[in-house]
Amino acid sequence: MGTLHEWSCVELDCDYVAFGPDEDSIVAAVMDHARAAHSSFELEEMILAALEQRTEADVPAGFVAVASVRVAPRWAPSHDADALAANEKKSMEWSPTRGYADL
Amino acid sequence: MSVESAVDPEIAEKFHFTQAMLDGPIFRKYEKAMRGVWNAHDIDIEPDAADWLRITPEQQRGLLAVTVRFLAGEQAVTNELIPMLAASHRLRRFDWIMYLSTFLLEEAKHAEFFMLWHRRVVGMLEPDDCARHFLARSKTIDPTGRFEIRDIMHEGLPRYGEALTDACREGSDADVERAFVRFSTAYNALAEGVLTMPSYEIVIDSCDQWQAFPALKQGFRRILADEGRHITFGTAVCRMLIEKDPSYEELVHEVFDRYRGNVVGLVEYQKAVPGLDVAKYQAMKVRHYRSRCREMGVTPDETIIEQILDPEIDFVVGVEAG
Repeated sequence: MGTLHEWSCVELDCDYVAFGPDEDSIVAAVMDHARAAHSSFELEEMILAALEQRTEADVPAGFVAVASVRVAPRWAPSHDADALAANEKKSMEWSPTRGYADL
Repeated sequence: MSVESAVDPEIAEKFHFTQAMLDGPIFRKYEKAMRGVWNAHDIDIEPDAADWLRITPEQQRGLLAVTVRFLAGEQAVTNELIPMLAASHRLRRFDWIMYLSTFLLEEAKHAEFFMLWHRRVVGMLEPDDCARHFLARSKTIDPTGRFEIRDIMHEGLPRYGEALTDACREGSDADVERAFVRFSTAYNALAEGVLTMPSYEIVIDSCDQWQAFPALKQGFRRILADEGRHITFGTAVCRMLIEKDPSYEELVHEVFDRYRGNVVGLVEYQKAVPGLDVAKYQAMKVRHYRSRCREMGVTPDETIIEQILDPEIDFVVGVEAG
């Protein structure tokens, strides 16, 4: 079983948790969550600093896939699946392959 | 050579790179910083100069109250960074020194960006002109008398920096570590990581609301990418040192407690810029406080969170209350 990354939101009254197979996909998901749910943004470095290493067994039953990440079913509709594709990552940071994406 | 000769440890000490260091989180930040170098002169400021002339005088005053603090703040953090470099040298952390070399360059560049923007857009450069628009935090009064407001940028950072410098010169490694945790908590976690983050969003939200100042927005985006590394460098170092000696966690809380009034009060820009959702930025401050605690591996002080959210605590830091 491969390693997963887990990120959980610490915004007030928010229970969003995402599991992703790699850093790019989970960074894209968290940035989309911050935009859609909180009209805000999360910086890539801060997302990476908060990741927990998990395994498949740690993903709660019932979590559903949106692009390559998994979230609780109630959070799935809030995501823009196109924005979650790792190669579409709306990053505020420089990437060796994508440069500065425009937010 | 078939026979390995003995290594002189004094000569080995001249070399610092190890595979563990290259694989570590701080060296990764150095690499990202090197790949992402940008030049403040590459941002076209001209559209902002035109926008400045079309917004109202009230909007000009509100925006300037924010940007002037950034202009001063970026100069302050550039000036106050040296003790962290000295401490990294003292603790024999070459990866920290390498990363901090990019950190210092970036802070200087941020100061330059704000200088260029104010000179071209507002027509303001000389210190006396800038000072007229600076809201001094010492003038803030909490009407309940419960909180004292201090100036972390211009009073706190120099004081913690001096203590760190003294520890590097005369103290033990543990003294340096304790002073490093206090300094980094004040600089990276509190000032950069909690107090300033809502201000970035306020400027971005204002630019969106007014459909103006694309250069300021672009500059902020570049600056934020740098700041994400700065903040998480400081919190990562605190986490490493706290994991080494858990008693250091208390130092984090001590620093946040000293500046409790600054954290729980409203950021002056929340009211200086008309038309913003004030509550959004208080909730955001809670998120950033919780995030910084998570990154440092410390338990958040729930009383700070309760006070940030307490609607009766509504004095504005930087403006005479009432």
